[in-house]
Amino acid sequence: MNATLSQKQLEMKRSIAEFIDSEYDQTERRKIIASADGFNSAHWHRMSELGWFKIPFNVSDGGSGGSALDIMILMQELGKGLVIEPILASQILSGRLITETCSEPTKDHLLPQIMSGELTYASGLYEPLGRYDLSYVSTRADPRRTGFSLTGRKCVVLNGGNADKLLISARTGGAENSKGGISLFLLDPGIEGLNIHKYKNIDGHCAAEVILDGVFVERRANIGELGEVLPNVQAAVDSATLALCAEAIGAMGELNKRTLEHLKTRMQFGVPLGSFQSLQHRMADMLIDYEQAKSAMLYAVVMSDENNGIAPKEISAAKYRVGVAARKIAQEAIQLHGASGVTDELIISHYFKRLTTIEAQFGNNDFHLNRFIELSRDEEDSGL
Amino acid sequence: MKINLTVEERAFESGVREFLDNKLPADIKDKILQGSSLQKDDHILWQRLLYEQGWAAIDWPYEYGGTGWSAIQKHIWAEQSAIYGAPEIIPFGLDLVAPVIYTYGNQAQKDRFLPDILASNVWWCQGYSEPEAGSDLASLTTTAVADGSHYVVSGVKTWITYAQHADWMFCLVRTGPAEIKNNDALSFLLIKMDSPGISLTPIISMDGAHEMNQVRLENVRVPIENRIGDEGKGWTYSKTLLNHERAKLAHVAISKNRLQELKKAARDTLTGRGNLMDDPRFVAKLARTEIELTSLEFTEFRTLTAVSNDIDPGPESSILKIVGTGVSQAIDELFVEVAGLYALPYIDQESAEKYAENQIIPKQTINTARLYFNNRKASLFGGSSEIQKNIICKNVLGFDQSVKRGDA
Repeated sequence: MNATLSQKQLEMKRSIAEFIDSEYDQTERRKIIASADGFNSAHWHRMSELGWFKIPFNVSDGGSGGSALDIMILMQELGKGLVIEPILASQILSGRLITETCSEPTKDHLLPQIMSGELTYASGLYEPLGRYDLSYVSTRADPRRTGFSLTGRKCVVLNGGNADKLLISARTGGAENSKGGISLFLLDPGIEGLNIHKYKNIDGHCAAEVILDGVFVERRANIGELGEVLPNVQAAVDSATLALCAEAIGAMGELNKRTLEHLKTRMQFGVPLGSFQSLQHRMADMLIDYEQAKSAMLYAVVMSDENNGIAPKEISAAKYRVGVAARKIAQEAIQLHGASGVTDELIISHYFKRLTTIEAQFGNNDFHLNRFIELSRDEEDSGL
Repeated sequence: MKINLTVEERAFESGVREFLDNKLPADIKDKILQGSSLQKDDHILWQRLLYEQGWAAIDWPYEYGGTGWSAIQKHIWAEQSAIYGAPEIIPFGLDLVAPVIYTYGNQAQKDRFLPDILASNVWWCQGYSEPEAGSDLASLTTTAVADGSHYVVSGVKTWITYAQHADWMFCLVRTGPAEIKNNDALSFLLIKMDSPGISLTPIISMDGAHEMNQVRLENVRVPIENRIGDEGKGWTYSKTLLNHERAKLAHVAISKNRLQELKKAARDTLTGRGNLMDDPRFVAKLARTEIELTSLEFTEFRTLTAVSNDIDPGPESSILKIVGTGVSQAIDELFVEVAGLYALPYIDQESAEKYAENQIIPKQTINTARLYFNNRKASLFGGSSEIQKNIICKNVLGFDQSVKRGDA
């Protein structure tokens, strides 16, 4: 049970923090969000040069890290700086899907482009009628003589409108929500029959509705074992969920810091706001929530690294606890800032929007609480 | 809350429904029920229709054009308005400045201002807060210095809702000698927004809306006759009336209607294994909110009954504001939870229509996050929840406020 950072990891953390502090300008960030693409390639290349994109990958795959702890370090810093570049969608979620499912030659072909940032990826795994259930796949991949024909839709696909490559889960067998029969396909966005409706999310990140209408792909577009990829999809989503928890911790820490600063400096009734005991206690509660959420996240990181990247129960616990803290801290940060907290001008509201988004992604609080209960029950039933 | 209505009250309810059926414009109703924002013209159109019906000023005394309705009648009106998707009155003219004018103004002021307020011929905004005086109104620094028949007003007012639409602003300004630092030196002044020396800066809120503004006043000349009541009594006047106003800030009827919509939305939300109403955890949250709301409704009803019997609702009305805000914000959050991933797309109205038409993104969730963001202000405006609790502590519980500081 050890979450202590190595010398190398400390160095990495310092370097990411330094870049975000000195070069990740919030005015620039607003411009990117307001732009049609919602993406700035100069920023992206700079992050590539700094080696960030290799952090989520094992050394054996050509990466520089690969552990949950490595990803946590990266994401926590990204959370502090409200970084909007699609690292979660591309390197972490899609990257893990590829390392989970692909043969060595395919990995050798695909991973270098992800680690260099030359190509960005998006993964469409959720559907409008399935809510957060990854086994609900109504998108069909019907066999054709030399490949498959894909029909269906994927919703709120992160980076879906900008990605150079798409990974899509589709059903090659079984009923709508059965665990078997789910397969994974690698698609080019320009392919015939694929309609991508791009938009921005409330936090400024890009997303899209991906609609497949008889998209024909060759057999080799299928990656992973035909009909058997649900466990891989689940593992990749768990990994991304944990990354998101780390990002949320970074954002919450920043909100707490700024709120404390406000309470200590804002004068009302002739005294700093922070001299009122009721407000001191509110701030203390925010700190407690932050620390508890951070511990839930760290525990999941450690368990994940000790169990070959698989810790579903602890990750659901973390996502739930982080989600509860995120909502509380984001709301309190605004309330304690007063009316200025609800303005677009102050960055507080931007953290609020990011945390609201994080709570809704990869399963919200209720979803993960339910999943935790089910996984605990399974454990008890199997006598663990 | 189920009320057994009398025959007369049932007839009244039918009349209200008939009016809403016939007069509420369909496009305004659609906007309200979808959570889209209204334009200035929408508000004015609706308030004029109410005026023509004699229902613009529900709570004014009958002699000035009020309705003279009982607590039950007001309850029926609020409930039916919410169900039909009628807009709420913009409060600044009809609900906030008018009571100060008819209670403390002289006859000339009543004659000059009240008819136009009643008919929604003028749009009002409220100039209380300042950059350095948010919750602490006693430290307002906007000054009004007498110069012959005028005051010369200078200062900065902020968080002013719809100042960009306003013809007039009612203000608290400092008229007393500089050595009086508290609110005994504040006066209640009416200022025409097109006066030379007034400039506006928009404040964009986190949902992207432009509702708030900063208003700068530089040597604005305001006739002394635009002061309501005595010099130095401004804060007393507005405070007295706040007890009545807060009683209305609970928004019970609207929350009730939204809770019904929420249940429908949850039932329509598939989870991969049934719908959201099959999830005991979600249903429990819904039930807790409903119980809180029903209790609030009865608390509000007790207050309305007191007001109808000419009893001042007193500082207990702060409870209505605190709980009402809490319930409405809880409902916002539940809507976000129901929407799931579809709470995330941030799409302008025009694209939203297109997306919905082509069944790309469901229409009903388009404004969910926006409403959640926008309504965070509810616990800050009109006296934050913290200030409301201070009022309860001081005026209801009798705590000594001088020891409120943690380090004292």
